[in-house]
Amino acid sequence: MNGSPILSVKDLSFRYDIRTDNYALSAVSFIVKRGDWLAVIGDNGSGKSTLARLIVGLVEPEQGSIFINNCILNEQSKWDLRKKVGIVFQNPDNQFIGTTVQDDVAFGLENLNLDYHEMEMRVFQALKLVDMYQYRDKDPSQLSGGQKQRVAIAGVLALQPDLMIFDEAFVMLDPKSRRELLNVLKNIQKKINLTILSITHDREEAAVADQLLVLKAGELIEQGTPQEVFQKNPDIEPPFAEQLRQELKRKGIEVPDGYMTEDELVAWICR
Amino acid sequence: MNKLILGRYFPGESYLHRLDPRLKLVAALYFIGLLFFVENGQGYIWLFLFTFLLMRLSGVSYSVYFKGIRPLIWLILFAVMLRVMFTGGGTIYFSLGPIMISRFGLLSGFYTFSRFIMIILISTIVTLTTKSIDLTDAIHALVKPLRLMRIPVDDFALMLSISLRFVPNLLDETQKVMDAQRARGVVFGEGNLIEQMKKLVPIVLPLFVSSLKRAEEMADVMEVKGYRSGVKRSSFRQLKWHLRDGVAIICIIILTLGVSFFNNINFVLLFNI
Repeated sequence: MNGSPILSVKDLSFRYDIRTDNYALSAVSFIVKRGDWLAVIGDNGSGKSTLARLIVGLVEPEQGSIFINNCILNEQSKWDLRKKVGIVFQNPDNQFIGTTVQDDVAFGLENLNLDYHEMEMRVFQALKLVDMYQYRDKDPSQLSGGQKQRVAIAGVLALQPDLMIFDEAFVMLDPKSRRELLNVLKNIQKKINLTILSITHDREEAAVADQLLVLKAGELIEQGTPQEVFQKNPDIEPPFAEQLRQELKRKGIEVPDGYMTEDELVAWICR
Repeated sequence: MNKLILGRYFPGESYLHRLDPRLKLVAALYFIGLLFFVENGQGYIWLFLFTFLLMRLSGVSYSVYFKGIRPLIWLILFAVMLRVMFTGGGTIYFSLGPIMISRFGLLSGFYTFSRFIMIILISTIVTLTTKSIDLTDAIHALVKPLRLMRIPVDDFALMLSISLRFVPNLLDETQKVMDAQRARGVVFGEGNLIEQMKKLVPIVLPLFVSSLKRAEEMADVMEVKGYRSGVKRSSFRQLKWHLRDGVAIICIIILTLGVSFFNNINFVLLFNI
């Protein structure tokens, strides 16, 4: 199944106010393959979040179409397709619906009308994946921002989606918990062959992706692997590791040419 | 503002904490009903003993309960005074126009006093030992039959539990907004009533705005997670009946028998009224 498209977006256009010509998105097309990690970057107002809301069916496109698992997304199919697509939003507090960690994870399962034992098992698995099982009886006020976001992720994982969207889900976290969470996600992704679409400001987060899309004022201006995109577009501020690599190069130190992740760079420096 | 104990929860692991919330709710209502069937002082003392036993079992110190009564004491004393002064009968100790203090008056004053105190104590015991979410579940379970009348019981229960879940967040936010206003030179709690009310506007407005935003985001999350009003959903929170709940029922039966014994009337009669 790997490599087949799970999400394909064709000619997608959307504007919030049809009286104006301000398109939040105009004629965006791309394809995401199963098991890939796709990052979407862009400045404020570039249409990143709108894209996420369109893919989960919270708003309807003006033009163009979205196919998930080769099934078109519309008013009729959205309830079925949402079982395959999960989304994690920015503010962890506003996503916490249950009164305790496990209640919150179970919320989506209750909506599927699953029986108790199935729910119990899935809640257990999801909380284990994000390493929050020992907190299952805590209420949200007892958790840190990072922990709440882990619970939000578990809530989506419990639904066993094929595609998971992160809409700036990590901006409210400090750099350390962000990095931890990204590692957790990377592992989960490999383990259960999940497809991830992450919408982000953060260059480090973009750098872990397999594919990168760059949006500018609603238009798709660049597409490729993070290495390609960062090398081709010096105006996009690259992640710290890339900045360091270029800086070292300017100082006359011989560094390898390709893009390197932070770990790779550390390994190279310590060599 | 934080003096009101009624409605707060004290975390604990006592016997009362672990009882089924449905049982606690029904039993409390039953107890309050029972209070009105008691006809003599012995009966009240019997119920008082039971109430104190429950307070002891709850593992919360007595002083907490009395703090709970304090804000209401003047109201209670007022009601008791009325009872004492306007009830006649028996030996009359003092009289002035329509006002008199009589034996019967004093007795019924004592009954009124006891009823008030016990109603407060019993409801405090329930709320101190039950999480608000469990109470919500209990209410939900008890009003479920209303579903047959097409009343959206499940939606209401979810609304109630979400509201309860956001109370601490709202309090936090209020504090933040107040601090922000203080930093800009607003002094709260000064000036006459109208001035004080005016100062509340810049607190309430930001709270409204943020609550609406929050509600919208939350609605999005719920929708994406597949919540649809009116579609059948299962429940992860399960209420289970335990042996201890059966024991509690036996205690309640003994309590009722005690009351009817002290009333010296036929047990069957009590329920035929």
